[in-house]
Amino acid sequence: MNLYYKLHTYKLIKVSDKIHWITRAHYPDPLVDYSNTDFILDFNDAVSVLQQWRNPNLGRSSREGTVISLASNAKSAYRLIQEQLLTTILPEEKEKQLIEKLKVYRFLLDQTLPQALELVNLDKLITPEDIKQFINRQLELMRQEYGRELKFAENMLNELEAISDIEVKDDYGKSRRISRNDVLDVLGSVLGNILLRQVSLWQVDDYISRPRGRMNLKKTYRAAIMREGKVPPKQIRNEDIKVMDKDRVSLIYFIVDLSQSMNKTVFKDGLTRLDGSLLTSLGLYYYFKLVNRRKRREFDSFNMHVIPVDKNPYVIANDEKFEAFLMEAEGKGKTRLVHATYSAIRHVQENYQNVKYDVQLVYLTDGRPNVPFDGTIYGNSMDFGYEKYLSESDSKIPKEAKTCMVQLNKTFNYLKRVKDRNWKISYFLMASDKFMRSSLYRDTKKMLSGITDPVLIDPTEIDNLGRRILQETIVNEN
Amino acid sequence: MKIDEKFLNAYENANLEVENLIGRRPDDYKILMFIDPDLYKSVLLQTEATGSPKAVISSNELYVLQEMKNLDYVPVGKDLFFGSRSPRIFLPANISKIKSSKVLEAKIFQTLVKAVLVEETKSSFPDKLMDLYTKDTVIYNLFTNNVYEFVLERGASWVWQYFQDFTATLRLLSLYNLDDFYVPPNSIRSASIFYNYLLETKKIIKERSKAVLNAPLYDLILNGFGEYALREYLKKYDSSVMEKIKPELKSNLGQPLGAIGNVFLGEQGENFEEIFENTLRIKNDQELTSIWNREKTKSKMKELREQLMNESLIWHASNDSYWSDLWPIRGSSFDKIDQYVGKIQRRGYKSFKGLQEENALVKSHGRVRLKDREVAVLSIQEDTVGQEQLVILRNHLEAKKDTFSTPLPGLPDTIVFRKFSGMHIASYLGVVDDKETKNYQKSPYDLPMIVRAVQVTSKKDAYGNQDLDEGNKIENVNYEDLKSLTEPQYRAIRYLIKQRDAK
Repeated sequence: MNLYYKLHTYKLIKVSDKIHWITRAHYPDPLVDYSNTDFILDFNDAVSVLQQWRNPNLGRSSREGTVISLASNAKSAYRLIQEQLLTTILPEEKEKQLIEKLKVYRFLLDQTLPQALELVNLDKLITPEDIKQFINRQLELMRQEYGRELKFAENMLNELEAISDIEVKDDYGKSRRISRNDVLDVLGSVLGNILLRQVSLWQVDDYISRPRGRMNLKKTYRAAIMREGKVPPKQIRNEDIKVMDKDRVSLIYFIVDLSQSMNKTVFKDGLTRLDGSLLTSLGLYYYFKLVNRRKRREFDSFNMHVIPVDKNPYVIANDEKFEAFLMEAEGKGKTRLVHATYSAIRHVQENYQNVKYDVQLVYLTDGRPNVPFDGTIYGNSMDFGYEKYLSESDSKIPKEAKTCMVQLNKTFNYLKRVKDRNWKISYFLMASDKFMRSSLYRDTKKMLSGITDPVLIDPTEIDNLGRRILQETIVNEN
Repeated sequence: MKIDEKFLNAYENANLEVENLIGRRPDDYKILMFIDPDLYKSVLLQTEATGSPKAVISSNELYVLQEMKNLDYVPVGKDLFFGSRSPRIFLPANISKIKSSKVLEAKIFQTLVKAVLVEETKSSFPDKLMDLYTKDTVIYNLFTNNVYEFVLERGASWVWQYFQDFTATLRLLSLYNLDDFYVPPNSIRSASIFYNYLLETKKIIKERSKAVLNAPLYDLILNGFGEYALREYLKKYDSSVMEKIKPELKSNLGQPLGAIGNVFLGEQGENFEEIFENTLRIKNDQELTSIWNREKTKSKMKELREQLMNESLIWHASNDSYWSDLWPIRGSSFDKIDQYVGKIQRRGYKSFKGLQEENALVKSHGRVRLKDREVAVLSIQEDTVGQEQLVILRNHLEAKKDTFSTPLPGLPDTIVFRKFSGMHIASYLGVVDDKETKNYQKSPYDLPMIVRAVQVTSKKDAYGNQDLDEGNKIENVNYEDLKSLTEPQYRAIRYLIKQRDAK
């Protein structure tokens, strides 16, 4: 033992000047990202991503960048796998895997990526569907080349799906590829939240006294204590019961104006009214989606629909179609706002007959409806106040627009009165602050009086608004 | 840290073996045992990529290498030996997990024997490498200290990446002698930390480039000697032992550099001592390979290639069905070294400079002159610097703000050609003159940029209908300064120049 100890000590002394034990403290990891700051995706980035999606020219550079970065990775991977095969002892399974992967990388570098770049240059590889088709074609070519399916090929080629993502760089040089969902989440949580706070479609975080739904025990006890002034309370009455929030299903209809006039650029950074209204609907749409997700209920609390104000307004009721609509929507034709309203009403009546739903009609428009509805208008003859107002005012809005606004006013008043469903209206106007001084704004406000207030939306300012709200929240918490 | 007894024994035995074989032990060297194998992987990748363990790496390369690490593509079997004076031997601490102590001993023996060679060789290779290491360490320290100061002073988070990219780009371009256009006059040194750093680094990087270029080609000798000595050492084992340990010495035996070097070294004498003494006198690979003419070399190489084909079967697990895939990889790696030998034999290159001049990885093709600006055309077949990094050479920092002010005279917009196997890319990177945003930059990266990339191809309709993409009419474009470009490359340039103004 003693001898061993001596021997050990001797060796220790002898080698200690040669062998150095290295920890991360001695030797900083050369591959640590020095600029280790989080990527900040702000609202403006999300907006620019949306613009890039909608405009192939704007997104092209990002798609090209993706192809190049895939090539760059493939090149390094190809080299390193070769080295690994030549120098590192590998179990058989791993070795086989690497050989297969090497083949895929070879094919990627020789065939797939050059072709992808050419197609991207020609704007022929834009949508996820284009890319899926391209990947399948490449898999087939690979199969022909090697006479069999290569393992991992599909997984590895699926990385090409990133081509439809958009690369954004924040102001500090950090770049990140953004998938559609990331952007939509940002828009939903920032924009949607702000919009809802502005207009109070309903008070999102409020506790509503109602003896239905999931009970909030703490709040309920507190209410009972407050009522009785005793701890513990003797009884809990119906009025004490607090639930987290509504548990009923709300139907939301976004009525998005796609008329010619929406093409006008009214915001800075070249944003059109249409961009503004798409952004707003997007924000709200994804806000509700987020809420649905957070609630973890068996059913979604909010059923969302989009109705483009088109020649023949139709109802979009699923995410995929909604996103496709966002990408393809263009402003043309006239503003059939009343038609769209009746499409929504019909859709509710036909599809949600039995249950007493809340129905929220959300208008996103420039406020210039111009095609009167020739079907039956709900409402009764008592609703002539607005008509009278228009005929007496010196408003310069065209006749058709006046008729439409009267029709809308009647319909809204009717919806407000009927008891079968709980109808609510919100009316977003895409314009900058100047618009408030116009007569159209006054007329619109009058049209909506007793129903809701019109909300002016300038998407380029929403970012600032968001920041302010955030700051105020922080200050209040302190 | 408790020293592993098994490793210690193997280390001591390996030292004794070296002493037995050569008559002395290596004296001035360092073994760096990385306790965290993950850190070892990083160092391995970084050293392989930059040629030195201390070189600052660009963010572009960093992302790629990190990705490779995540995908588990790191060739960890490779022994990392940095053959400078006072050679550095990098080992992951888990090396002592190797079951067979004989294998461990053999591996350590090989690094120690290489250490003796670089300690005593007459070649200037270890000195140059030491020079390189020192310069990189100085640059690294300058970099970290300055960034630290900068961040402390201005609280700007982008500084790390910026300095890092700047340093890596400078290093690359300096190596190819393209670095004279963006350095401010000396008088500006006192203006800010950044200028001071820039000028200081620039000076050291220039010296570093000189060291790299003048370093003798020595890889064949170093690796060949490692192979030769290890084979000599392994002679003490009989074939049954060899059968067991040889497959475990995958990265130590039969590697093309080692195997080819070994063949040449075998001609240096009758016995080990003679060969070792003669090897010490060889100054570079050219000297080593000049013993045979091309014809003899070719036949020797052919012979060796076949011999390796038979031998290397044992280093692969899936040697039955996949051998037809594995051998070509080994074969092509062998051919590359064979070509290298051919090159130095024919042209007589003694240092890296000759090789680099013949086939520069970074080349300037001149500039396109437009009415209001210039576009520099480069080709970069190198992974260190991406298009992104070139932005920092752009004359984009005229703006002054409280967080930074760095008005560099710089490159204009750039078009860069790169090749990835079947891809030949021309990419354009320019900064849009946007008067509105100029005064409100948050960092040097906060720029209105235009980036495009196209496949260089001889297909006539490759870029679609060009008329549609044309924005403002481009007038007075002068392509006369451009040189050594192909017709498809010219077409790509013309298209990209038009695209800059496309709306």
